Amino acid sequence: MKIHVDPQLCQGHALCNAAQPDLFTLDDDGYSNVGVRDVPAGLEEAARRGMLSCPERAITIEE
Amino acid sequence: MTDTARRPVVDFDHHSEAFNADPGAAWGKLREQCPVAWSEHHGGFWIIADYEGNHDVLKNTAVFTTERVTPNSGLNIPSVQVDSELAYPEELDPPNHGPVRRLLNAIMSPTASKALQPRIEHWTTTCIDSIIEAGEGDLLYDVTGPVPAFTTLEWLGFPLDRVIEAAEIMHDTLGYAPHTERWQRAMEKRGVIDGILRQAIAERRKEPRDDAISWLMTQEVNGEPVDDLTIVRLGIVLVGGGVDTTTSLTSSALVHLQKDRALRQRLLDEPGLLEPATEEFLRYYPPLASIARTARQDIDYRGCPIRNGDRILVSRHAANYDPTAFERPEEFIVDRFPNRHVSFGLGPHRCPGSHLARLIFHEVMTQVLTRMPDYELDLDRVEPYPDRGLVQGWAALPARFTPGPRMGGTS
Repeated sequence: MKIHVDPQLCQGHALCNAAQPDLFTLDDDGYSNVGVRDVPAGLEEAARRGMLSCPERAITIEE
Repeated sequence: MTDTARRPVVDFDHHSEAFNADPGAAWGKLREQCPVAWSEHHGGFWIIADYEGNHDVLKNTAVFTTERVTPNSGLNIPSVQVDSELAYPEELDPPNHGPVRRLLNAIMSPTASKALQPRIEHWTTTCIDSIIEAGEGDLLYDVTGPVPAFTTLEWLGFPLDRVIEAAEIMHDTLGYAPHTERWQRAMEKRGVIDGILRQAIAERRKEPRDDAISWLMTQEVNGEPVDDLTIVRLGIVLVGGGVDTTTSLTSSALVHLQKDRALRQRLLDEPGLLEPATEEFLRYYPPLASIARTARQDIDYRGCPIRNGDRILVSRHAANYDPTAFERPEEFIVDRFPNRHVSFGLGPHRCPGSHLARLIFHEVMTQVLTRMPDYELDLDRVEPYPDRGLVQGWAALPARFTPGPRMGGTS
């Protein structure tokens, strides 16, 4: 599983980070610096929660 | 058919008595019957009253601008900002927006906001201490109003002996319908806030301190040092954003928990529940119910002829209760998930203070629930703002509770 965070859509709500801080990391300004990232085994559900937390709909998941 | 004839006209005025009798019902009726509509009030404006419309308009700054592109532009309808100083970065669009916005992002990020937790605790403790021994007070004037105001304005570098004065001016410009007497008086005093900011900036130029104004002076925008006018413009947004919005949210939550005692007990028994509850309070009671934009080019949007210069009112309230985005939206579901409400806005102008707001809300709710768990609001004397088309705030929250000990030390 991979997560994609569209940097054009991310506006720094940081709710993905609140859902799973190790997977959805932020830059110093509080915006996502994830880009594309592999989801470690066991964090699949957290990845989905992070995606569903984003008000901007900036996060997609590739199964 | 002419553009004018193609407008779906509704009789809607978010500052009218009919609207204010039940704002939720008025927004809901629009969403169900005509989510993109034209009103002839206030010189004519479009209303966007659903969830997808919020995404479409707020993210598309190339078409829907916050800048003053016409004489009646501005963030409110009717426009009340044309003769006032600009608010930064809100009244800038990309590409000018980004470099100014980054100044605020740096000092209001989740990490930077968490560093203010000791001051949030201090002001919450101090404000509750001021009434806890008496067993009665006004939770608006004594707690939910001053805590965000003192926390934010102290951080900014605003003189503490002018905080209440500034908060009262903001309160009256936001809570009373445009052109009422009280609103007019407050609008005439708005320059007072600019003046206080200018004086604070002049003092920091001579002697920098550990506050946001002093930090902003050390920064650059596009290779140029940040000048005083830019700091005033940023300060206007920070005062406006810091003073009345978190106050409204916290006040709405306290009124809600007056009516729902079982939920009050659950939040006491399960402190972790306050995290999802914060998002549901935000969805259910968006402090800023609506925000305006101006079209800077012609666009046919969902069959409606929006023309260059047209004003557009975007309803966050209508989006937050849209059944296409939220299951059973009329129901308060404390652990609702997902909960992608739009109460902090969407797009580049997302509220930069959202992280700080959540922390303040969390601390005030926690201290009120633990220190005055049996608070009783006198619902006959609890007053919402007379005008709730813009900010859904409160004018009075008189309360009684079992007296308790003061908790604060010094600082």
